[in-house]
Amino acid sequence: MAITQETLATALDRAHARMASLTDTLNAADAKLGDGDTGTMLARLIATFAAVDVRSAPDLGAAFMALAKAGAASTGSSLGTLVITAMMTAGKASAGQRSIGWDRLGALLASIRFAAMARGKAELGAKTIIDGLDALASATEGKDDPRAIAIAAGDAMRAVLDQFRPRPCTMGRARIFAEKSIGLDDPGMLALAELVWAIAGQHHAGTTLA
Amino acid sequence: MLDGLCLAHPGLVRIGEDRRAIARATPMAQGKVGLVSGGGSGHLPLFTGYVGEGLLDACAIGNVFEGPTINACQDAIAAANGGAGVLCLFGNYGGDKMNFEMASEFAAMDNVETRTVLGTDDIASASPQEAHKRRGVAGLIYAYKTAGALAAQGGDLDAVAAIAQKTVDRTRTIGVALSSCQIPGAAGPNFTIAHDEIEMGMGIHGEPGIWRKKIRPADELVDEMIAMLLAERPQGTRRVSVLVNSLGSTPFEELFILYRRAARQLHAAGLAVVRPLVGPYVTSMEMGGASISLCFLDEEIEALLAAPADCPFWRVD
Repeated sequence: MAITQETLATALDRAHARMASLTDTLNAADAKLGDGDTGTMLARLIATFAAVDVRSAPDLGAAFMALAKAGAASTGSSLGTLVITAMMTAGKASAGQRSIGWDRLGALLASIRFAAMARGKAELGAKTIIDGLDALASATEGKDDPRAIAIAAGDAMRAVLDQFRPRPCTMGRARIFAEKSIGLDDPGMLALAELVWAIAGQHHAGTTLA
Repeated sequence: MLDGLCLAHPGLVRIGEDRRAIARATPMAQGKVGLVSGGGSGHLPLFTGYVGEGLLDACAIGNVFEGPTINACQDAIAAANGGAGVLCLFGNYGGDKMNFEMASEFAAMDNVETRTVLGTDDIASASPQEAHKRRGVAGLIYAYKTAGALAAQGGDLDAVAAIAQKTVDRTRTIGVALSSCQIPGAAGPNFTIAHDEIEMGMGIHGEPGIWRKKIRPADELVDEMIAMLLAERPQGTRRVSVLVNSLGSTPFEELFILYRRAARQLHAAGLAVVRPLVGPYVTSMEMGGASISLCFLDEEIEALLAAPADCPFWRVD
């Protein structure tokens, strides 16, 4: 079994469908710490992605690059740029390939985490999406069964949110009000978690559907 | 919105494949340092309204409260390239920084030299010890003016970057909000505040401030704001320009009430007020409230503030 353009298209469809009910939740989470537009921005970005015909791309790498290009014209937000960076990293890693094995997903997520750190000048432990990506990469490393990966990824998202919720944000706008951020989820990390759960076919509470 | 801006001000044109950048309609002067800025929509006249003679050469504009896209940043830099390099001068925000950085990397591949200076004037957003982490808000326009003037006078890229940085270093802003803005498409306002409350230090996107209290007389608020700004007064400064800025829905009448008190307090502190600015220079859509910026002058900055400039929202003869 392998990750194909069909896998990517299905993931995008699930993420797109989830944003219909997630937009206001993420806006509200962001409004407590920032400017309150994370949901709106992400909904637009994922709608842009969903409109890209990734199934017809020449290969998986080209599909990811098409997403990066479409995203680069869609948003300039910091979170959006990190998502675009992720697509570019995945595109380079899978250039010219029709599929990549599930056993390579962990390493790919780790490389995305490093690329996002470099682009955003962020460090681990600052309570950002970077910590979410790190947890995701660690949870999926060494696994090759998609069902096991889905369960591990969903669990890792719950764990990392629980781990960081009591901590202050030390990066981005939220670091200015670090004390106010204690007890709240980082909007970027929360967005990642919600989308991982949606793509993995899980309810918010963690029940596996597929 | 951008189409309307350009129709109303024929000196401006939309450029780029995505048409999300604004440039001067006249060709870029060869040999002149280019000056570009950018940021999210929702702050008019910032950012696109400051493209003009003696100010910006081009500007990349994002969606409401989002940084401009990489594509738009590239388009703006290309439009401002007159062969002498381009200064990217914008507020200290994550998305803007990442996208201008990526665009500058692309520009370097085309042998276009760039420098970056970040606006960091919002004193509510970090301590003086971490001033480099502060957000850029209304005071950024002072750096537009001085850097734009020096570029127009033939200054080289390093000199234009240096005066921009010096102006940023000598500018401080604090804002106060009475009501929220609302992002188009969002279910509700960015934040809620009671009719009898006021918040000090609110960010330009509605980021939380440093305190929220019951509403107080304007003079008391201005006294506190000026005291906070003067706490970071550079040693030996005797002259200052002051900007009393509407965050969107605050009318001129109320701005002049604030300015009256601010001018009095600055005079009492031994400062001569030069070239006061009162009006909607950097808004946050319909947010109720105002910010006060002080640009602590030296001879060089004051001379450049006096240099001719002309854009849709700021004219100096």
